[in-house]
Amino acid sequence: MFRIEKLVYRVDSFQLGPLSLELKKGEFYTIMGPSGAGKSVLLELISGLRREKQGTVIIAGADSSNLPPERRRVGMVFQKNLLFPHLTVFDNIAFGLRVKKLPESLVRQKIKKIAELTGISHLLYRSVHGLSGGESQRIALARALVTDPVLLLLDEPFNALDRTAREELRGELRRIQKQLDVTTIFVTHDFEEAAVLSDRIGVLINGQIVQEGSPGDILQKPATWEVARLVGYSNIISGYVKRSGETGVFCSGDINIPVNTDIPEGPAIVFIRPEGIYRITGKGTEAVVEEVAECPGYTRIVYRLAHTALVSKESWMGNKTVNTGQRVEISIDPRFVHVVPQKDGNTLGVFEYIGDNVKTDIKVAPYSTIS
Amino acid sequence: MSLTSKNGVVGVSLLSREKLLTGIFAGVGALIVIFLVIPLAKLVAANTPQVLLETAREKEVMQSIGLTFRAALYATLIATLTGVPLAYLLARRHFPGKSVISAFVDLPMIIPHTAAGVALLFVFGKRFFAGRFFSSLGIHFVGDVPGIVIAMLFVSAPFLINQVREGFSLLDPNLEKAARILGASPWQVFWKVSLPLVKRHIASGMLMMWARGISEFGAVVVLAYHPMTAPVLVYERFESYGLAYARPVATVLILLTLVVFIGMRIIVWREKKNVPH
Repeated sequence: MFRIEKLVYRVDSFQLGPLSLELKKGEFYTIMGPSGAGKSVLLELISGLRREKQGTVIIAGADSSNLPPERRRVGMVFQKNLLFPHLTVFDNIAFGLRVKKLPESLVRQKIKKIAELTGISHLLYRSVHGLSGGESQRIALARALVTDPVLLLLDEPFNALDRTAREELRGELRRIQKQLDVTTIFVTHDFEEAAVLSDRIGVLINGQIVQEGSPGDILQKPATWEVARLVGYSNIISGYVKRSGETGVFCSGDINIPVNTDIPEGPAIVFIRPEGIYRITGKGTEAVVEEVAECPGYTRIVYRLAHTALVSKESWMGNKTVNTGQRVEISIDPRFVHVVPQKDGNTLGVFEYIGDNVKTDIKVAPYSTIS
Repeated sequence: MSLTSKNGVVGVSLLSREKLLTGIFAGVGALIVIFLVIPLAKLVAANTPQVLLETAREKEVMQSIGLTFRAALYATLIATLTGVPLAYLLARRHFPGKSVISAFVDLPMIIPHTAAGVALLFVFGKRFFAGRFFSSLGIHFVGDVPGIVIAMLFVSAPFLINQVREGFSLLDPNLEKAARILGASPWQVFWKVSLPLVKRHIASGMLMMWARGISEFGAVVVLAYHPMTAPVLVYERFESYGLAYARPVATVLILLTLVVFIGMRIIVWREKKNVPH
């Protein structure tokens, strides 16, 4: 259906790829990555707004590598509202049909259908000024879909929206996409968004897809510490796995965690979700409460250990508040822990750790950026 | 909201400080407005309505004003056809020598206009290449309407080109990208998206250029003293008969130009209300 083969693109010192990707008909594929990872560049390469230096882009079975954007049959919704300000809502949606010289009766018919599907029938004869962000993006979606694209590209389309509009539109997008069965590539930096929408996620970091899988795979088994950080593992700590026979233990300065048999002896990294850290009395690791913050639905607590600090999210249900400076004992729920061996592209220094917003003197490997 | 300064004296409130700035700026600004308006107002007021009417009925005066308006219009149309594509390239593409071309576009605005006229004569005069070529087609520049048109074109085209270029630069290139993905060819994008969105800039650029063309004296007089444009006529009456004779002609020219200019402004302003940018 859609395929990229060994795509390479360079701008200045940034290199995207070599990158290969294959989508099934009707699949919702999300490219997730931090800003500067090359997400938008990748979409521009697929849409033809940029030309690749090497590699092939195949859309609906045809090699599109040398086609200009207007002949690639893709639809795209951008981050920013890019409705044409001199046209009404109707004329905006009609744009892609009229440039193809479709008869006006067919234009009306198609617009009526797509407007119903996207819930904007009541807006058709309005000017595009004074629309809400959510309305604008619905219209942009209708404008992209009305041309029957074989591939729909969505470049962080919810970014400019407030939370309510975002969640509402997210659900609608999935419904519309399923109903039309249109193959979709969605770009976001937000894992929650990706998880709700996608059949499959590819994590793009520094121009490379470092992991590909279902939202569940990525959530439970992030392949590298950068992926782990993107999906909400607030605690990332380097250490060493020691094996003796069947049993293996991950050790860092403060933490010892039993690991699966598939992790070899050697340097490793542990990812711990903040929800997995809890307080107990007796048998726990000693810690001092360093920060406490009440957040919607949970309390965020930072525990200081001998060598590291751990961030935890405590559900409000328990409602046992702690105070800064208090000495407590904590433990880690192994269901919220994932250990990976260190290898090329996934290394941290000895006992280096990365906490979510925790002030430390440990440096975080920076992402390279691209403008 | 009052402030206390360090030495304990209660300071002026923020609001009255703002008023102070507004007041001083208004006073200073008024000086320049007075300077600009008084001579024109005095010129207009110095004429009795009868004299103005008589002048307006004078064949020579109306012919020269008509000629001036027409020549400026031709110059504006030529500059629009050639200048809009140039402005688009200057705003949208990167190419070697772009800054040099930009500088050349601005050049006519800074050189003395009589010098511009002389320079044009060196190309379009009968003894020179372009002059000879056009002459064979029956188009003469020296002492003829085409000469007036190219003089106006030369000195006032930058106003149009710069204004249109500004319009294209303010246009978000992503709108053009969105149109491409929707299936529009580069030509369709230009006609259906870029051009309609800068039409206000084009209109006001044309208006600026046209007005500047009407007022041109230096370059026009070098190429064509006759047929006489309105500024040349004003000058001639002043030179030959003195202030009293130049005044009514100048007044009629100013009033007519104002009427057209304000009328066009209103049209452009209405467009702007329809298409906020």
